Amino acid sequence: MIKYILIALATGALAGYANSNLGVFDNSAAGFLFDASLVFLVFMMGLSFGKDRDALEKMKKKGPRILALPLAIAFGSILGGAISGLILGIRMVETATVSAGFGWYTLAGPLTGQMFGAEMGALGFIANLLRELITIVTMAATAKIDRYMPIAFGGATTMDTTLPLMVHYCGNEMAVTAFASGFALSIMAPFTITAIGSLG
Amino acid sequence: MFHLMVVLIAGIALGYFLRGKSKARISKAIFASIMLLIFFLGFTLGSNSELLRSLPIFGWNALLIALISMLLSAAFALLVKRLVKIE
Repeated sequence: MIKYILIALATGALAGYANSNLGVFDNSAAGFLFDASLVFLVFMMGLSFGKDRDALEKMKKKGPRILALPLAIAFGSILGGAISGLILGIRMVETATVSAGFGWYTLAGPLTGQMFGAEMGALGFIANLLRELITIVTMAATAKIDRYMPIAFGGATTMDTTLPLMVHYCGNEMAVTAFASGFALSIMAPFTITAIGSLG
Repeated sequence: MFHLMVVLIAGIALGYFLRGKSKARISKAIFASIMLLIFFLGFTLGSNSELLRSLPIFGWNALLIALISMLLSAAFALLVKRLVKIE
């Protein structure tokens, strides 16, 4: 699986790069196809979860306790951002703001850019993008260590882009856990970014 | 963002009624569309010239921020999983 993922990512990047130089397709078409395949995938995730008797039972047992998970993930993320600021010699408030995006790069990039300027905006975009890419690329390994590890790695992305892979590697019963965690973090991200950013 | 939740719930509901039907076709369709999704993810990144310009400048710092926050996220998530007895 991982081999195919890397091939798809690389050929996509090359095709996108070639296309932006040659201008064959409108870029918004690629964006539309991305959204369409995402909606289709999330629907299929729901479908295979709904069909699975054990998955629903396991989910009922977990109940609202799974909401502790996104809170822990958010706390670890923000703390990690602050620590990396210390290491890099960048103001801790700024790096913590970047990591408070939890992997949602299309949100974190523009918001940090607005608060701390274009350079931090680019850093916010790339750091959160890398979070998503690393989550995808390492999932085969992290899922073996602990099924909750890829959910923590993925942050806010586990409700959409990384959800299908999560189900593939961690099983049907993790679909709703991953979605709920990613959903909670996606709701939190705009608030955590602006709240931490306003400290500096 | 909310439309994904609607789509997920619709999928679960339909799956609930389709219990017992074959599963093989679903996982093939999922595999194919994961590849499409990742291809288009790559495509949008490859065509983002601003991103490609700033990657060599901010890449290493961004990588460190991403890695440390991911590892601490995982550490706290696994801790909470034990404390709250999610499993």
